[in-house]
Amino acid sequence: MIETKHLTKVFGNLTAVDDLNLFIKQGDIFGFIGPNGAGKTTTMRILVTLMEPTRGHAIIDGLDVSRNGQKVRRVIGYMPDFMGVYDDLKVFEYLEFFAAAFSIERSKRKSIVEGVLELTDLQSKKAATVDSLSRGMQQRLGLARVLIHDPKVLILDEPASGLDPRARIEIRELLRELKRMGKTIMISSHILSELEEICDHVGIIEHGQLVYSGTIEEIRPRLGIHTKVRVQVADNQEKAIELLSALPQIHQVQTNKNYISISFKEGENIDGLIARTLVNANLDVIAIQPEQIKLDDAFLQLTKGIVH
Amino acid sequence: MINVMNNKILNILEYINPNRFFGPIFMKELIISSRRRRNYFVRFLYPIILSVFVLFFFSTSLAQNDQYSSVIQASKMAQIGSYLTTSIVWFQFIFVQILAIAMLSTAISDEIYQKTLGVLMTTPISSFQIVFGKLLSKLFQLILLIAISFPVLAIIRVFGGVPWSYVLSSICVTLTTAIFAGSLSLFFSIYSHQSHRVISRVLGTYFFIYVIPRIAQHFLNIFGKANLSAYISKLYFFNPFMLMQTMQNVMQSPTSTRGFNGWVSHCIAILGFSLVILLWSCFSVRKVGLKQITGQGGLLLTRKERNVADKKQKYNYNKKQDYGKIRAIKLPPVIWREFSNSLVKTNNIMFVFSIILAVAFIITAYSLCIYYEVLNEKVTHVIFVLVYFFIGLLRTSTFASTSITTEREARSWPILLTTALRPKDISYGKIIGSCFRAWPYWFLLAAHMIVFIPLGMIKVAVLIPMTVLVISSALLVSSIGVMFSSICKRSTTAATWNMITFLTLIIPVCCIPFFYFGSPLFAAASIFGVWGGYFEMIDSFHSSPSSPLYIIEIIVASHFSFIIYSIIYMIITYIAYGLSINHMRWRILD
Repeated sequence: MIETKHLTKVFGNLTAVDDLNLFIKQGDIFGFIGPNGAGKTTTMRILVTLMEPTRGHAIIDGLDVSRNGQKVRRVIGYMPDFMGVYDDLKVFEYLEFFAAAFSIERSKRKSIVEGVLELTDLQSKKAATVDSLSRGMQQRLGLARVLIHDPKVLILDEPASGLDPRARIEIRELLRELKRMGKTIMISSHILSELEEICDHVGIIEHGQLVYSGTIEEIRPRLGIHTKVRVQVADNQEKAIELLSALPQIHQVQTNKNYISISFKEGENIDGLIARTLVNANLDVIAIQPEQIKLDDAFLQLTKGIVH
Repeated sequence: MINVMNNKILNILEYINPNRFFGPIFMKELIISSRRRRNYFVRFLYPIILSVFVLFFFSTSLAQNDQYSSVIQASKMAQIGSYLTTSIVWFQFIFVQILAIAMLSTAISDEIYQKTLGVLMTTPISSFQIVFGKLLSKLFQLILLIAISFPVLAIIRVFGGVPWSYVLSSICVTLTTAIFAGSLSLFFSIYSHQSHRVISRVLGTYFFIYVIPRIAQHFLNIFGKANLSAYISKLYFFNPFMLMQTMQNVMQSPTSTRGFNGWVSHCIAILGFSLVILLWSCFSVRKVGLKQITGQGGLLLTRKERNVADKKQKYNYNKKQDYGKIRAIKLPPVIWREFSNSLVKTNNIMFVFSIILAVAFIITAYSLCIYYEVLNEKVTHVIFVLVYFFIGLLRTSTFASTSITTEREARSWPILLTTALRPKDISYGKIIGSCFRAWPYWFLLAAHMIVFIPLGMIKVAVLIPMTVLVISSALLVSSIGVMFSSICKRSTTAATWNMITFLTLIIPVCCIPFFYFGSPLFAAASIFGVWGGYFEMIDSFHSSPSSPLYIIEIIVASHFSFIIYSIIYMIITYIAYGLSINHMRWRILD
């Protein structure tokens, strides 16, 4: 659905996007991650036809964005990293304005606006002025605007930035709902834990170059990051540590207050071995639980934090 | 010994260091000014315009002098010198004021908009340092511009006939008036982000303090209140325009032996007024800055003010719950958006006050015309039409020049560009929308013609050419405005460039015939036949004005020029429209 081929954008001496190759399948939620100044927003601006690439191609729904700007704009919904609003308009007027901008017939506008207001839970605010809305509501209004012409692709630049936890959860739920509706979503965010929860694929960009692209599960083996398991025993934790440390498959054993954290190389099926070892030593095993790899860890390992 | 001397010198330098009084704001402003290309451009442009101005007056004076013998010509050189000096002094007087108003029109609003004023309030920098630092850094540049004219004035003195006291006094009056104008502009910039609004408010204040007393005096004379009129005439002492004229008259008077001395006390008085405005600004800046950093004004308010604010907040809250009517979008979206920027703001006291003032002024103007029995004169209607036409064009131009930049500033521009609207739809919508938005101003012109055509005071035949001229001129200024709005990053820059272009177009540059004849104002005046007397001429040829070809004949025979103007305007409109489309995706990153 979204594809970039050797996409490059140069500003004077600065190469903001450098030979970027991306592929996002239809119906996927793709998380676009990178440090500040890595080239995320520039890539998104090229995809939404706001900028021309210096070299390479960007293709959305089979359309080259440079050549078919007008058609591409009907396929995409773009939400920038800031909420640009016409603060003297009312919520309904604001959405109807964009419905008119997408040439939606006047007779259909009302029902469409009502529909997106319902989806974003803003019906009660439809006659309020845009500037009277809270930040979270404004973000929801931004999403409502993006959906007004029923685009196949949503490109969202930091949609949850500056929101409180409740508003972030609401936006996350809304994105899940949109995924269920079959939308392809490209989303950039600095709140990595959030992307982890909703994204099918992630792309990590630094210095304008894609340093990783794939699923979150694939990151671990590809980077050689050790898998971790949490083991909880009823008593005699010291003995358990001694036994587990002696196993050759185990890379590291760390003790915590209530549990033991064990790391080992990806691909090893070690859960059975741990259980057998502990049970054979007459230790009461309460739990053996895999620990999730954090996207933050992968991000830190993949990026150097150097900006242009 | 040398060390002691050095220390003393260093102490003196430290004592007179501007940082001591004006803090880092003064230096910051100077550094920023040194990086702005437009300041270099102004410094480059100013001497050029001044030189062209001097050359034009000099060549005209010499041409008039050619008819005399060489002896008389030599004797008249002093007179030429005197005229040249006064023209330079007047040029400088007006130009420096315009620059002071323009330069300081965003002095505080920029800090408020960039949210740096609140941050400044958390530092040891005082509001006094902010206000005076801003003012003096700009004043520095104005002094530099005034200094540019010194060599020219020194050369002209060779002709004789110009006392130094006149040059000195006029420069002092120019400088103090510029300080006063700049102080007003700085003060208004605390309350408005858009520079054109600040400039309008300064001009409104000028009108109030310089023009209204003159009108009032006129009325008092009519009603035989000579005592009161004489009392008002004392206010002229504070009017720098009147003072400049008086100084010029005294200087050019063949019987005068000494200059006019009243200027010293005038300058002191104007500086006093400026100081009051600046101190008021200091207080307001602090209030606004603290409000920005605390997010509310509660800390600054007295108990009584807090109660009023609470009641107001409660009222606004209730008002917000009562959301009111939702407007349907029946026009193309961009035009609707421009048009929905309602001019009618009934909750704004200043707006209501301006409307009352404007209506009172219009009624006064018509009443005076009736009193002096000049309402039936053709020249009266020409003046009315030209004033309304000028106001209509000015407002259309202002709305157009901020139509895109305000979207950029509100950060809604990239969103609009990613809709299905094509750049040409947006540009077209903005041009037409700006014309629509200025309808109340155009309504004045239309109302004047609708009232006076049936009364027979305006010829019905002017209706068609005037309509064509109004449409073509409005589209012209609107498209140029949208073009600048598309090219420039900030509303201030767009409005300034547009204003310069507008004034060049509207106020005929006398030495360039094309501009003179291409001016919409000239076209409007010629349609009314004030200079040509076309209608009377054609009336005299036609025994039967009801001939079906009458109007067409008038247009073709007498007003061929306006058709040419209109065609030229439409061509320029099309070019500006094209340029605005090409530059639409500029500065998206800003």
